[in-house]
Amino acid sequence: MDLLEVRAVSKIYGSGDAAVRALNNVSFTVPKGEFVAVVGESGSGKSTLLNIIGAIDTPTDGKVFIDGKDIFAMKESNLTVFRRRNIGFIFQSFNLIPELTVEQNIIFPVLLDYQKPDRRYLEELLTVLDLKDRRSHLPAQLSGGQQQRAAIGRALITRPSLILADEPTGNLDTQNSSEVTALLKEASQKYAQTIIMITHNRAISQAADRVLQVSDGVLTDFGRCVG
Amino acid sequence: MKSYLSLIPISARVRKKQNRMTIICIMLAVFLVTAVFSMADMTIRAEEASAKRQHGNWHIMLSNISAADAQTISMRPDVAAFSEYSAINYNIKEDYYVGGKKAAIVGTDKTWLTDIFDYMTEGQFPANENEAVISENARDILGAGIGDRVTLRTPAGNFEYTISGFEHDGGSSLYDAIILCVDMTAFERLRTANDKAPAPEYYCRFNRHVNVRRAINEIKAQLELKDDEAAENTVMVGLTGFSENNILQSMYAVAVFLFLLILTAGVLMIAGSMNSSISQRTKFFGMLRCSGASKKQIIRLVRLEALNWCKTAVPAGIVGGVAITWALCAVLKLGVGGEFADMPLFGISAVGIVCGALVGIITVLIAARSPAGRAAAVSPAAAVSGDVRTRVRHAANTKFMKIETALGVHHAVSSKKNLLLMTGSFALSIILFLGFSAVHDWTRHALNGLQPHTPDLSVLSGDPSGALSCGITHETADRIASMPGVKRAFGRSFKGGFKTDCGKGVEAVDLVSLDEVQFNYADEERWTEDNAGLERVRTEDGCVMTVYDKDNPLEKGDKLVINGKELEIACILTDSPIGGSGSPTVICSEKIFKSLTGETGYAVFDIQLEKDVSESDIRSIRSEAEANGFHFSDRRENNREIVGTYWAFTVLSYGFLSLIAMIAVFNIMNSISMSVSARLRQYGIMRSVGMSAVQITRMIGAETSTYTLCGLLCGLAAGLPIHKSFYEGFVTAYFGEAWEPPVAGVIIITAFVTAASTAAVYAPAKRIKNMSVAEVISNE
Repeated sequence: MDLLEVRAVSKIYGSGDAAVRALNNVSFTVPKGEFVAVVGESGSGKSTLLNIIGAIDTPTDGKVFIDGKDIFAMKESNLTVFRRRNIGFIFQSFNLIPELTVEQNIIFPVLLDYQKPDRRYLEELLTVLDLKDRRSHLPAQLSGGQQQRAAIGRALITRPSLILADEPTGNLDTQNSSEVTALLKEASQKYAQTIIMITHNRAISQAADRVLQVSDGVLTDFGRCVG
Repeated sequence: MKSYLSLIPISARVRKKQNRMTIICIMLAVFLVTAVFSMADMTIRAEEASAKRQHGNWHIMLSNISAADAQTISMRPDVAAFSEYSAINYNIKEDYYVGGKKAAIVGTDKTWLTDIFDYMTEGQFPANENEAVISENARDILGAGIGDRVTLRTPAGNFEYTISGFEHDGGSSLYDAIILCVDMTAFERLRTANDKAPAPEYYCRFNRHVNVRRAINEIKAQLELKDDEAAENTVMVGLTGFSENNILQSMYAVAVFLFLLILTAGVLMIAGSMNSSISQRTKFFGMLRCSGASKKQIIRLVRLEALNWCKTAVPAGIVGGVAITWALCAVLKLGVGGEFADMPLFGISAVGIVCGALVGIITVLIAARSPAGRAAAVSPAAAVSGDVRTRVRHAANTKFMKIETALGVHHAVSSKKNLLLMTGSFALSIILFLGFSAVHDWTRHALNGLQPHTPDLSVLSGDPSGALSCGITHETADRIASMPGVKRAFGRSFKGGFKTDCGKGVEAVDLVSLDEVQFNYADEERWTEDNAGLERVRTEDGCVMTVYDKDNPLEKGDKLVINGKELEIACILTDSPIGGSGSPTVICSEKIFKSLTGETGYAVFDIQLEKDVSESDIRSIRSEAEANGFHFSDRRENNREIVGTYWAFTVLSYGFLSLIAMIAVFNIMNSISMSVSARLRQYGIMRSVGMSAVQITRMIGAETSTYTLCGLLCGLAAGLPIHKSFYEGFVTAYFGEAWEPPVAGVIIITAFVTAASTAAVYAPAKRIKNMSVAEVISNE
């Protein structure tokens, strides 16, 4: 069953002569539990595509369905709650809340829902992410790799069906990059989560189940990797 | 680009929108100072003109000095004008008449009548001893004109004069008498003929910029004069800035204090605004450092950038300040009138403009010091890595509050400097409001011209010695009260210098009775807070009340014996129109007055007129009063002036309070907007991980509430003692009303600050709601 369906999505920035077509009639589907890598040159429209799938940007044309729901047909308030519960975001520059500890950052989406976090799951995440002894530290007291692991924890805490990662390894060294990719892959398998990750790293894209390339706003599906 | 400083205009163009707030802050500070100083300047000019008109253009009046001493003083180089003045029958008690009207005779010179007092309305000062200037009411009473002959009837015989001009000094209409002014030669002839002892007074005015206080002290010491022999024109001396008068000095102190507070508020506002702007541009300054700019260069850049804002803000602030001054002057002159009729309409105050410009530049330079330092301290490495956020030392406490509330509170308290600046500027607004409201209380007490009891006309009964007597019978009073044009009338009896014994050193009191109408006024107008005491005086036999005065030792509960009858002071009036003659005033019911004195008539009968009363109705009332041998006093002009002054003070004080409230609102809205701008990216991230627009609004609300609460607590903690000290200095000391916490004022300013804070959240919250999350995250 497809978790995500992107149907004829276009995005145009500006108007008239200054109009820039960032995405041009992009359509594809992603089944549940698949790890998809999106590759492409800088400025090709990858981040725009990811932002539209994550509903933090709106398409000029087209529709996006997550779990069969047309996300842009939802009211803003409902969409926020939907995003909080069903989509996990991971950014290149980590984007942790500087005033919150690692633990608070991880449970942030749960706190936004005024719920109590599942302590057992939290402990499990902290263990998997190797952040147990850093749980009370502020982001500024962590290394880049640790910060990105905390951001992954934040993306996983609500057990979202879709995780969107925009160059999560862009600011990390080779070892940390491999660890983060392995973690994401493990999560996708363990919790049956769908992951769409933008990357420039050939090795990471080879580790994905499927590779999509965006070039000048046009999407090419390289198909599923074998093995 | 000629130098790195060419970045300033380029940056100003690019950051036009972001700089707007800072420019508005500078404009507001310049505007305020220009307006305050210009208004003070215009008020002093108007006050000077009005004081000259009302009290005369003199500083000191000397009496009991020899002609030789007077000559010496008149020769002093610092003396600008010096005039001799003598009067006969100025209290209208003796038998001097002009055309059947009581007359007072003044002997003086031209300077006194035209320069020291601007009394001449038509004609000229007497050219010889056979001419006289006469008060204007003679025109109506005698039908006289310039060149006509008038006869002055004196106990020593008749004297004839030719009218050379008319004068208006106000006293003539108040006492309903004619004033005849002659030169000193004619006056000496009259004085010797009537066998009056010489009692000349000398009016002296000093040159501008002379230290009047020092000059007065010198003269007093030189001639060994007592205070009552060297009377000061307090208003004029006060306007020179050398007054020793306590209340004027306190006013100066308060003005300086309030002015400093406004200045501090301005500096805080600009500093806060600049701080915010710098923190948003840390990356830019870091990149400049990377490109090789030294710390000094960065500091110079920030300072010059700030001064560049002055280029627009200072002229705009000055234009605004001058415009508001013109508008206020127009309101005072054309709308209020009275003594503000002298307000200049399009006056330009050099002091106001210079102070405004200076304050703009100086405050900007002071305010830029800390942000310039901060900008220079940005690490180039931090700028390159993009890690330019302020380091956080403690995590937000999410245990006891919802996440958005916890973050909002944390945003407010995490930077001690920012919290201090915000709390300080909130608190300052509150302190200013409370401090000024105490001054406003003084205005309310000092000017009671609008009170419902104020009469338009008064009929006074005097005995042959001129003292008040209870000669107005109830029949006469009733007759006058029922005449056309009379809306309401009420009378009081008076007996001065009544021997008493109370054991507090009070040997005599002035006894006054009130009728029911006045007891009602006392109740309605809150002459006292002690309603129960007032009711006892109205109804109980043996209960009286007294009027608060610094020198009156009588207190509530004191017993005093008058004519063998023991009376109890059951109430103290704090705000009463009934003044004493020096002895404490004791007020009682008509019944007690009658039992103590045996008198039933009124000494004073006050009349309030219908709105549409005609002058002929007033003439009939005057005739009725005079036919019975009573004095008639028309207070309408005096009342109009008091009403004018009251409104002027009300407009000014409420205007000032509104301005302070406006600063508070603007400051709060500006600060919150700045704070949000500085965290825009963070809010974008929060939105991307699922924070709703409502939660964002709540978070900003929590931050604002924290500032508001801290500001309110600090503002009230400092503002209430200041209010108390101002109130005790102005109101308690002069009107006896004890200080009470200004509950209404506190509620108003709290409501104002809270409303402003709530409104302050709206615009940034809307901005965040409408922003593109993707754009904020990728661009910021």
